[in-house]
Amino acid sequence: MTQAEWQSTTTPTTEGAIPGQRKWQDYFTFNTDHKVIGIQYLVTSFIFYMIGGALATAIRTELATPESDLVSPELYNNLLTVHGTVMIFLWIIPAGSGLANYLIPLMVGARDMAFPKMNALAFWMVPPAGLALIGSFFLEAPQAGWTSYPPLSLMTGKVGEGIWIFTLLVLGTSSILGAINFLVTILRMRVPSMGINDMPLFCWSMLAASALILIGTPVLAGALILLAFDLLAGTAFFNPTGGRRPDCLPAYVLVLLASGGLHHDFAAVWRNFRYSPGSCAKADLWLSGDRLFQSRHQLLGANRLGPPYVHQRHSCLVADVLHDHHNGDRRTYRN
Amino acid sequence: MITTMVIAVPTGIKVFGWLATIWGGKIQLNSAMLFAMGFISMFVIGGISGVMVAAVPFDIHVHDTYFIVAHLHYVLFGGSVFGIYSAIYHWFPKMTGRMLNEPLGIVHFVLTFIGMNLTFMPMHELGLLGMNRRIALYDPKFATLNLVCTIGTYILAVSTLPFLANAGWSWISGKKAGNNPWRALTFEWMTTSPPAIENFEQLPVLTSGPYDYGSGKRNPQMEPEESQSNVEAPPGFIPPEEARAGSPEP
Amino acid sequence: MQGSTIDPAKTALNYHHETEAAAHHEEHPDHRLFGLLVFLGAESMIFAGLFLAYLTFRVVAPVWPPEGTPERELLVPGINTLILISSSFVIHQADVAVKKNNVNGLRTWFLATAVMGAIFLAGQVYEYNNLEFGLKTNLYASTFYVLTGFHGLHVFLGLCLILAVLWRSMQKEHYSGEHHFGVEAAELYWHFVDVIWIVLFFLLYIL
Repeated sequence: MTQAEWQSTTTPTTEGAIPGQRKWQDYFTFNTDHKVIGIQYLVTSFIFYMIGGALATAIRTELATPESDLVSPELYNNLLTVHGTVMIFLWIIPAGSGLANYLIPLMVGARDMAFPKMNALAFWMVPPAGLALIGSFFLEAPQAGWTSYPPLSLMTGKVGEGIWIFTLLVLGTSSILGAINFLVTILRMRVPSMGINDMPLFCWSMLAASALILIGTPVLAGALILLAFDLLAGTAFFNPTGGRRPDCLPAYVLVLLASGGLHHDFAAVWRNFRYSPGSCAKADLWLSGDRLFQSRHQLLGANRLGPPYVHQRHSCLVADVLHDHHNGDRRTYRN
Repeated sequence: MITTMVIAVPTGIKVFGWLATIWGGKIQLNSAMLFAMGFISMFVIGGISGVMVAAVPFDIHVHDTYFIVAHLHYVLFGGSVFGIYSAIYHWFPKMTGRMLNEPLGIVHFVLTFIGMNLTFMPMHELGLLGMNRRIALYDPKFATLNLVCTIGTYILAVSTLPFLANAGWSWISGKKAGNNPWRALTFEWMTTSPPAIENFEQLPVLTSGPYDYGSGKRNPQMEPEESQSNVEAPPGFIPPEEARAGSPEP
Repeated sequence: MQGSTIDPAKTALNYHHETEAAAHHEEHPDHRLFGLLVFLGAESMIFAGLFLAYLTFRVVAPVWPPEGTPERELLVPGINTLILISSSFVIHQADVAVKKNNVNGLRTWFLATAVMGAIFLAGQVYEYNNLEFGLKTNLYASTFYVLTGFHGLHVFLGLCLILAVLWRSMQKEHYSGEHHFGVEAAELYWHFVDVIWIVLFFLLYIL
């Protein structure tokens, strides 16, 4: 990408068209204007939000009654997994990228992002990955939950889990490319009069989030690669039945840390209303996004990693009995 | 576990920061602000249940139950969807040049807020009662609360309809926004709505901090509707000397 | 306002190299090297994750490498390491040459680096063919193949970059003393691959 190309790709429509007015066709092409890409991201992610919402509605409709009357238990697992993945990776993250794309150059007074073509490339990785994930319903959808804890994710069908890994690798690459762009734009393209402490909080949030994506997502990608080897080539990185003692817990934590960090970083991006004075706290906050997972899994041992009973769903009454026993002390004051 | 508890500290600082800002501010309860406040309240609930599950004895109780689902959705739904909606209501005028319809926005907020709480609040109770997550079947004794959750989900699903109608209709024929409908101070409001292809006629120059509202410095004026195509400061606009001295000169 | 646009004398003084250029046709500063550095930082996190996984497996395992793992031969990988490390110095000569506007020197040194990289990859393939364990033999074998394979993929990509620079240098005046970002990028990437290999070699063969 040379500077000359940068010029020619960002100013093709200045002549003839009214300045500031994009044609509607622009939004369906490989356009390098950050404002077009921002709206592309937002609209795409909102469509995925509605798809994820439809999946959630199906899940809740199934759960309206105790019986399994709307969908089969397998399909329920598929719905659950795809709902989680779509909502995290195809709604929250791309919507964040969309707002960041639209607003960062405007807020720092730049004319475009640092790498406009890479920006467009990062966006155009999202729809194919999303379609692959949604399309997996017609082949074999993933069943292992959006966290894909290894013992379960290695037992629930290669095709669906393979599609899931592929989707996440593509989306991870997309968000890494986006994060590089945001970071470089924020750090290098502010107008000369704007020091880093004069930036609006939105830029601070995106700076912290981008840095954490760059730290967390590659680790997630590494873990996904190992998981893919386990799944497709039969190695035993995560698989406790592969001739190894099942004390592979730290490896799990690697996966959990990475994914947990990733998602929670993103959940934070939106706390940057202009009413918020505390920007320093943001950077601290996202360093340990594993809180959802780590505490619950470190203590309970490998046999409790992931819900093994998803597979034994017809024995849920037994599971319930176990749970009551397990919570026996609580019963005393509840009843 | 330790990290889970430690993370509550900066989060708490931020929440107090937001609350103090709202406390000292003059609030306009428009849709963006409503969603922002909805975000804070929902996120605080999610944060509190997060601290709860950080305690190991409690965590052993609720591990893999609907309590976790409730916590996760308060954090992720309350913490992201409300935030993103707030951002969309705030920046839609900049992106499209048109205002979103306020009454529809309030309807949208009320439906989302009620739907979300109806869906996820009973899940706390379900989790405490011991209902496992990620399973299609459950004990009939949980049926009533699950039905409530399901009704809440339908309300949530319906709540996107006013937003879709609002966004679609406003994008085509909403009220014209002007360059700076919120009278905000940051750079993105200094250009046209929507911004021209290379954003700025002339690159802006920083004269004050992004949040110097009401700090004795001159308040910006609402720009007149006619000057939309051209970036011009209001007539007689003189950047305050102290702001100029305080900012690094190019 | 946070800023104003009314003072054209104050706008864009340092932002552009040429202030007299019209507002829409200014020279844009080059952020590509910085972007590449950030990208390499992200890349090194993948390797850091994989190294961490390897170390974790190693610490957790009672015997490492697991019993029954055949002895590894150090000769071929040792030579390979020497070749890769010295190629880093070779490619640096190309950078020195192009800064002196010596495109012929650039071509020579890049060709030498490409040959050394190809020898490294060939040595890697030779080693794979002669190892007595396969991908699924045990955990050590799996991590060995994944780590070296993933690194080999990066060497291959670096080789492609070098060849692309060589191809572009055939065009007259594509690279000069002032404009040689492609050369710098390929060099930086090659150094990165080299550093990763040193860590990898230490972890897998020596430690």
